[in-house]
Amino acid sequence: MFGAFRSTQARLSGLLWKSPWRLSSSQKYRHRQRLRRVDRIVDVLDKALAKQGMTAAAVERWKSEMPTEAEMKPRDKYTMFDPKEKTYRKGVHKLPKWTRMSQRVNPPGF
Amino acid sequence: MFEGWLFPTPLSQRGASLTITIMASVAPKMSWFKITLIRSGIGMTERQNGVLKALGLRHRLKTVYHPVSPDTAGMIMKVKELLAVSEVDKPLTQAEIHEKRQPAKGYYIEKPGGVREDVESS
Repeated sequence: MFGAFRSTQARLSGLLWKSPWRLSSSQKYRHRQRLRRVDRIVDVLDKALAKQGMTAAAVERWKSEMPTEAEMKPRDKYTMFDPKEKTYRKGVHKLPKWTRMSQRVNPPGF
Repeated sequence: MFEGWLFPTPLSQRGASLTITIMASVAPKMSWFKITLIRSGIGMTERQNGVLKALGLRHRLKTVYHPVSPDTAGMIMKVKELLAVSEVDKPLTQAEIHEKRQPAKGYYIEKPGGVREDVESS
């Protein structure tokens, strides 16, 4: 029952990876830092181009479509739309490679 | 009436007039993006890894400099989650980046007259 031979879910059924259903507070903190870093980069690009009197389509589109970290609601920051969930929401950390990609907007109404 | 065919301007003068027009238009001071790869591109899409390659970011913590232009900005936007970006006035060469990363020697050589070599040179 105890020790190395205890019967856990992982021991009884081969490959089993478990991930918590919600983010910890420090995961959320690091996630906010990442969001802000992307915001800063977009800001740097925009200001540098403006100085030269230029614009870039990708930067303009991001600015018009994406909310900044401060503008985002906690709901959109830490969860994302999932049609298979009962509540239509799952933790953003369920997204593969979630620390290296941007997931900011969700379908309206969900 | 255009008389350039009959009396062509000497090349030297043409060059001079060209320089004047460029200077008169007052181009903004050129600047560069300092781009560092801080998250690995492993497992990202082929397209994103292609952009990293095109930027010259072969491994983590590699720093490259690219001129500020819409092209560069578009490339940075493709992989913005993996980078740290700032705007600088002057690009550093790889040798200069390497030099900056060297730790302090831990000693300095005194010269006659009590002048520190490292202070004098800087």
